[in-house]
Amino acid sequence: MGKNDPMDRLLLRLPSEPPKGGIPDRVLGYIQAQRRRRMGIHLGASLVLAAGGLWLSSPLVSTLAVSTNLSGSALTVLTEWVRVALAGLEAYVNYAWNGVTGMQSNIAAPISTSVGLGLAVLSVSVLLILGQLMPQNTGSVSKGAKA
Amino acid sequence: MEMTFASEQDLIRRARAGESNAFEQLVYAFTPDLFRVVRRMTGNTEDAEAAIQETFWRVWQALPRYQEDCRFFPYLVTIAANLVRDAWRKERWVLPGELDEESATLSGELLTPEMQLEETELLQALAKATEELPPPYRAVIALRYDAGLSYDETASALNLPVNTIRTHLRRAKLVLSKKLKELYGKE
Repeated sequence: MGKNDPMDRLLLRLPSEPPKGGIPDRVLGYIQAQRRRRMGIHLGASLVLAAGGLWLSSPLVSTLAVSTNLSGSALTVLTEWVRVALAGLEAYVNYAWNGVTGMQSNIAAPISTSVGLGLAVLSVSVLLILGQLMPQNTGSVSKGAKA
Repeated sequence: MEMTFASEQDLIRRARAGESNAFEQLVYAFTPDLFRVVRRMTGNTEDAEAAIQETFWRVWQALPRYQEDCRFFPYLVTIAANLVRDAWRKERWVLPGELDEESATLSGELLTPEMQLEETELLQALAKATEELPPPYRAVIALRYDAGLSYDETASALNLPVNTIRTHLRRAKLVLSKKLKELYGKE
């Protein structure tokens, strides 16, 4: 900018419209809304991933049910597990331990590629969900009016 | 915005460490100046506010990667300029036809003493004329005069060669000079 250029001098002092009140609040509100939106998308994607993992792992659940002398649909298996869990922590631990040891001895062979993949997908989705639930590096932006 | 380099860097560090209050302080401190620049670029308040909101959202996302030796305001302005330019691209980044290079020297000799007496009015007219400039010229004026960026910083913010920035600025001043001349009729 030339100091002797009158146009430069004028342009440096160009009047401007004063900012409308509340812009910073609306900026913070917008950021908060965007964060919620992004978190929702990530959680949704993680849940879809988890559902895929569960679906791929379903042969393992069936095998586990067989190894723990359970039969019937997945719902029956889950109901039975919940019933046992509610019956007492000790019983639950014993039950889970028996199930795992039974699984180890009885179903090592039938674990297929899909089960392995399913478990991997499930693990990733659980990690993603946990990542979403952890506090963000830059904290939460609390203020704001309009999104 | 009266903030030293040390205090702005301190706020950025605290924001990166998870202090939401620090980020809020950055938003409150820099919004007025950013508004002035972006408002000049966009030519209207609504677009300016939308660009500012998106700018701070991008900054918030990029905080973990922020280089601490950078001044914050030019960084903000660069992001905002890119956003505004992207919006213009959708409508095409239109430049007027080539101007007569010979008349590019007019700006320095245009303002007569009479015109200088009416400076307040002149500044208002100039601001209005600036709003009517083609977007690239407006952008260069906003970044050079409102944001106080250097030619290099302006070129970097707009992703254009420095010589193009100089040409845009020269031509913008020429257009403004001609408009003022028409308004004030001083030859």
